[in-house]
Amino acid sequence: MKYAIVAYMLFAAVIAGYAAALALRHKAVQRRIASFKQ
Amino acid sequence: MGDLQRIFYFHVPAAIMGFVAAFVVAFGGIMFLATQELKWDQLAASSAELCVLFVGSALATGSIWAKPAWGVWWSWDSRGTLQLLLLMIYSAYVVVRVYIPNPMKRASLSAVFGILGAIDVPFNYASIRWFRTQHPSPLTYLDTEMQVALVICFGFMATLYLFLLDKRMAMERHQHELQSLQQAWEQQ
Repeated sequence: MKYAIVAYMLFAAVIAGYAAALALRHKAVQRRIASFKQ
Repeated sequence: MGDLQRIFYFHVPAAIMGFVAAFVVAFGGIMFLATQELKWDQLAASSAELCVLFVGSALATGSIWAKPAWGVWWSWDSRGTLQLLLLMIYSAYVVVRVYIPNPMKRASLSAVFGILGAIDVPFNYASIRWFRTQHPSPLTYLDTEMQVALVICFGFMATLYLFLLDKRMAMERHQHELQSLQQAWEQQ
């Protein structure tokens, strides 16, 4: 059972980490666009 | 196999979504070469990143399954090796793009790279049929409850792929806008 739990948690952490990094990257790009347009 | 078989419900859908993502990269590449429109390159680049994510997840979960099932974390069998190759091809695709500043040149090179990279997928899919391998054989029978669970997991994984693809493409469009603004500012 412990291997299945580790696999589930690893998968969830990878997906959540990617989604969070993507949101941060997107926000940084939007911020730079806003600073150019000012 | 007991509870260990539960890994199968998201290992298999993640691997299949990795294949789908690789085909979307190739499709985007073909469409870019045919039309020279950057929106196809944006689709391919976004899908390539997700291909790395899903194939990497499938490899990691497969490795966690292999340790108690086979007694080793990794075995150089045909499926695992071709899957690792797919991961390396699209990781290289993502990294190489960073070092090509010209958008059209980057898109052209990426398109060719992406199309050639997708050649791995049919070999990868057929590897457990063509070669003697440690990887479990293709499924011929599944209990109804297992089928339902697998279909739900496929639905979840496909939704996750489409959701992340949409978000990644939105960022790619904004990055393109930023690059255009930077070029206009430099020309002033």
